[in-house]
Amino acid sequence: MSNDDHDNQGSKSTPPSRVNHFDKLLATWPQTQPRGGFDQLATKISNRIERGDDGMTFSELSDEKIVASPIGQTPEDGHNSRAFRESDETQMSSEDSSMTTSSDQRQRDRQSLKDLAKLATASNAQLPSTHDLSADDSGMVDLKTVAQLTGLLGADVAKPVTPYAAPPSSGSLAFVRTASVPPAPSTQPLINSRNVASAAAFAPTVPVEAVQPAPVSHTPTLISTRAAELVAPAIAAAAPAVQIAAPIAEPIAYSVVDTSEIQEVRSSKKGVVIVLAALVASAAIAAGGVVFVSKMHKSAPIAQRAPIVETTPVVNTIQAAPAPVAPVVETAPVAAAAAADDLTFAPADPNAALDPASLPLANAKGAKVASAHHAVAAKIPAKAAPIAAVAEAPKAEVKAAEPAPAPEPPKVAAAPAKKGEKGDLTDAMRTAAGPIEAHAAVVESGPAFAAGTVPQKPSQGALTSALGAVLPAARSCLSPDDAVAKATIVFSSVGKVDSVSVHGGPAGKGECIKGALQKAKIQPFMDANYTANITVRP
Amino acid sequence: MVRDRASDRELVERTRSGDPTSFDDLVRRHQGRIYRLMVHMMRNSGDADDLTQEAFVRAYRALDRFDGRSEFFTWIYRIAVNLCLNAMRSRRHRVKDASLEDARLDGVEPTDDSERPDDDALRKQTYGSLCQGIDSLSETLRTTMILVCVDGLSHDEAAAVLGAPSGTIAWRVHEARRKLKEFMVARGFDPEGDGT
Repeated sequence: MSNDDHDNQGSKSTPPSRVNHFDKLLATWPQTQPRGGFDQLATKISNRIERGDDGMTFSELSDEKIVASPIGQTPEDGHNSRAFRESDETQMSSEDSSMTTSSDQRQRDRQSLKDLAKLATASNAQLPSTHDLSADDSGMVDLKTVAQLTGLLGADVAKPVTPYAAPPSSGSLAFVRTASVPPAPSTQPLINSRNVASAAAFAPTVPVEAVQPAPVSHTPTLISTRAAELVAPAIAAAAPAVQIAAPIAEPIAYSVVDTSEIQEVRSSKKGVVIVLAALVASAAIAAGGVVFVSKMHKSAPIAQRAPIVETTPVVNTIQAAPAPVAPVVETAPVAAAAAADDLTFAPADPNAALDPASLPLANAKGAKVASAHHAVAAKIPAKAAPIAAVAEAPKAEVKAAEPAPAPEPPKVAAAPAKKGEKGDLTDAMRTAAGPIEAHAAVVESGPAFAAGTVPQKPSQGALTSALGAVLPAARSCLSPDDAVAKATIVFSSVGKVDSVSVHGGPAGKGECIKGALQKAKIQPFMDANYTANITVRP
Repeated sequence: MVRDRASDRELVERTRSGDPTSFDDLVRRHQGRIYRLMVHMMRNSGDADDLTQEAFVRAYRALDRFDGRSEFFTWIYRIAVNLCLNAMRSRRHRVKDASLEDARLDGVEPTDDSERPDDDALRKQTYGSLCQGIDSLSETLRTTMILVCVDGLSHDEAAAVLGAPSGTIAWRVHEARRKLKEFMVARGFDPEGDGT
């Protein structure tokens, strides 16, 4: 025999502890010879190769499978901490409950992420660029698109806008100031301004019947062309601070619309003011988001503040967006403006009054379908709530009007921003947004899994644990003398078993095995499904 | 002979470049170990002979897939183990009781000129019980034990062959040894004794 090169490989073996007599016998097991000897065996092999034999007389394993891992990590390998133990079943039970409660939310998270990615891709190709975004942008939400959408809403009032000579604030928002009225209490939930912007974008496609009126109780006063840009990353509580910082550092455009100009606008297009109201809401929520992110920046490591995935599909928000078709607003508060000590606003025209009490309440559907981030907005103290009412108004207005196919950029005068100046918009909005503690409390009660923590596919440990929990039950289906059964388990992205197919094994016991394996449950993951193979031995 | 000194990688490269005799050298170099593995896995000399041929034929056909990241002998071992396991599963190859006609015991046969026939009988009896003990192990433990304890692969080599971490291999070996020891002790064999 000429296999001397490797005959002493055993010397490299990790010596077993306390080598016993049986180990010695195993190591010195006598070599057996094939019939005819090894020379004849080698000749047979050479002949088969020369004949072009495919080597599949014994087995029809493909070339891929023939070099695959024969016996990788198996559930039988119970040497690690995630081995199959009784305690794992208990642990799985507790995990089951927690995962079940939030799986739907995470499903929406993933769907929304895909929607946002599509939106970002589409906008990059179709919409003109109004400004360069920072390289720090996450790319998850196309801020340019949001800005464009905001510009679309504000296009109608672009003509009467005159440059605003007031000193700029540190905020990155551009304003069209029209009026200021005292704040009025409201219990309406604050709507995430991301939804406002998104709703405006999709509003023309939504039937009017689907829109429910909102309690528009005041004249919109602020238009923020950058607010929508800020809102998405800001309200997304875990967004890195750098995402916020980049747009803040850019120049800010301010403009003022005086009351007479607003009258013109109202006489021609009354709904425009509603659009303005939406942007006021965006600005206020952006401020709240900035405050919230600042809070998060102080309290959490950056690694935990991964970009947040919007969990609510845009269409959901649109359907829930209530607004009157032709709202005339007056005397209602602009929470952000009213709360800001340093900002003064002209009173709204009383002739264009609309009794807020006569308007129907906002539908809460939007809040229901919203993610935890929406919950943040919904739980902001009541003094910021009027903004939400204003925010909902433009959705109906956009619907009432004919869809504007081509978005126009916001026509506002540009002015450089000075950050950190007293009386800046950030301070005002921070005040308007309410106590930071409220935001923090809501975040703490958020989902168990942040959107960014959902793995692409289930981890090996989770899979092993899940299968280990159900394997004993599957094994119990087999008798000691039964053949080994192989099962293919397909997990859906929510972590539940989609299907189980059992191959091999004794006839009639497949259903038993299938029933046992169908109880497996793993952590949700991003992929559409995941297939796991498991061998069930008696 | 220069050719015998050539490493496995060199022989593989020569085979790829069209030298027909290089693969013969690889076969002769490794067939003994592969055959021993087959015998212990299949417990039948006929199956072991066939599967050994099959393993090398398949290796020759799949030689382009050998990327050189592992040793050739671990690669051919993997092919052999896959063939064995597949054959055992597809044919439901099960040996309930390892008999004294077991191919694994061929080399344990006492010779006619043995000076101590009693020792030979005891030795064969011990090996026979070891065969039964090994057969009582699960497929995973048995395969790992054959590779490490019988064929003498290191844990790392066995890990490369089976596609499992070295720690897993170590655990399997430990577990297999423990169970085998229990099996043998239960049948009256002394783990510290000199049965041969």
